[in-house]
Amino acid sequence: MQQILEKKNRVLLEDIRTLRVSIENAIPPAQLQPYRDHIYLLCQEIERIVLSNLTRLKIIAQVDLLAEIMSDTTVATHWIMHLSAMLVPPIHEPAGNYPISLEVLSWLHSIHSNSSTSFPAIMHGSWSVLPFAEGRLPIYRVPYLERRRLLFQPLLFHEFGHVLYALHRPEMDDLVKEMQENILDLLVPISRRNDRYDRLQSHFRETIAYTWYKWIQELFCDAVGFTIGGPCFLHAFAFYLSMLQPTDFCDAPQNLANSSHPTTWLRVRFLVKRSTEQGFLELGRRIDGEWQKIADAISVTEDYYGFYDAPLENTVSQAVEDMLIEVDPKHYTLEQNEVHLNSAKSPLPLLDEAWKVYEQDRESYTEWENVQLPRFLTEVTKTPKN
Amino acid sequence: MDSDWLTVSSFERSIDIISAINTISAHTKFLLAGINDPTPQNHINAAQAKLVSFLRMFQVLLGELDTDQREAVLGADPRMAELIQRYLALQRTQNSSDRLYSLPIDDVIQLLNLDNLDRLPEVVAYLGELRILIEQHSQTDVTRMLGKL
Repeated sequence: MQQILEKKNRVLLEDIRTLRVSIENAIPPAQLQPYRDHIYLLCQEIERIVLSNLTRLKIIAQVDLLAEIMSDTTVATHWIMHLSAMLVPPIHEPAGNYPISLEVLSWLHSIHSNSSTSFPAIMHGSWSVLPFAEGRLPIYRVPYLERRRLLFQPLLFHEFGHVLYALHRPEMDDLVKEMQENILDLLVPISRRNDRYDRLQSHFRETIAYTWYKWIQELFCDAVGFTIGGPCFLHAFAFYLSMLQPTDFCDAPQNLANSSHPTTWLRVRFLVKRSTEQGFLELGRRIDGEWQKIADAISVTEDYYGFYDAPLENTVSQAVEDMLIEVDPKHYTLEQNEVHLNSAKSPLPLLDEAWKVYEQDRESYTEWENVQLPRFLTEVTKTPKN
Repeated sequence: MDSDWLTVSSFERSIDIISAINTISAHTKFLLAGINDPTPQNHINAAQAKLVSFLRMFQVLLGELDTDQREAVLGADPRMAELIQRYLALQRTQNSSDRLYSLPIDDVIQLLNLDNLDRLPEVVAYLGELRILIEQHSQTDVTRMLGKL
């Protein structure tokens, strides 16, 4: 067994050194330099584990460390596979692949002091974020089609919400737990039986509360998205997530239980409510109306089969507000839009303008984007970064 | 917009804790053998802190299930909840002499100071059993993160 472990760790040592050299030789965009530095430190730590394994193998006759060495060999193997598959590739992406997404992320992370210890990277994939190292090394995934387009960049604001959650995990989990306990209390019926039916109902109530652990995070991230992005986020969200299928509006209870996301219509409802409360009445009404029209056209009725109902609204809304207070995302302001349209500091005015142009005249949108996007990126390279 | 991030979180947490277990377990064995551990002291301290933090969180979640007579773990991600439930299921079926299920977590946290030389073998045994529990639990995350050929 010693020889097997020795051979395995020698291979791992070669692998981690290859990865380390590839990181040294990578020339990522400036925005990814901090991410690269941290991945490099991680490689050094893994190399230390492997070297430690080899050292311990030499003295195994004196101290029986076989279990620890085997386990640490597995740890190193998993880390190296993880580095190779996920963490290292983003720094080898050509700088020109995600120019606008990189700028949006740079801006997002720079304006939020609570993400100052977070160093983003980007790669292709469905809209998502993998907040590695508890949010300190988030890898945002952007679809191929969107990486050089403006309209759906605001969806990155939702993904940033997941990073904020990860960075504030203990406090956020406490708030979620409080909400789950409130939900359980609200779901208890006025009179209860003392039989098998009551036990089934109790189990169902716990399933609902349990499902809300993931659901509230999505509603929170939606709220972060709107708080930062304002109207352009709501436009992007409502348009991109509309698949024109019945499950956008209503899903079977067995699919809802332990699902990762609330029904999309519920998310739209909460966003519309938020946008209305913040003064965007016309936009909120329009989005709500569009979704209602689609629901009528495909003959679905709003029903969450107990997983959500009106009595839960205050509890859920309050939880989202408390979570927003905890992470304190930068608020979108109309003034920002008016003053900074020609400034390269914030991409927000450009993203706002993109939706305005798109809504007014879809025929000429592409031509507009082909001019404005390169202009913005040129301005950004001239603007000194804070 | 998927929830892979919970898988990521669980995957990283598991391998971090396993690595911490291995560091402390090895260090304890070095102490028992009277041999100098070449691991830097700051790494040992960091591993101890990580393990203690994990055990405290584990203890809180276990306690809440007991107190509230619930099946569901609240305020914890589903993978952590599954780990708690796996622990409880094994506790009901395993040999009661297994230290993982018989040693109170408060005692374990105290023992992790490694200043009670008589009880160092218990620390090694406990950590070995904890490692098995977490390695088995983490298989799901490993498969989701790294895939299978």
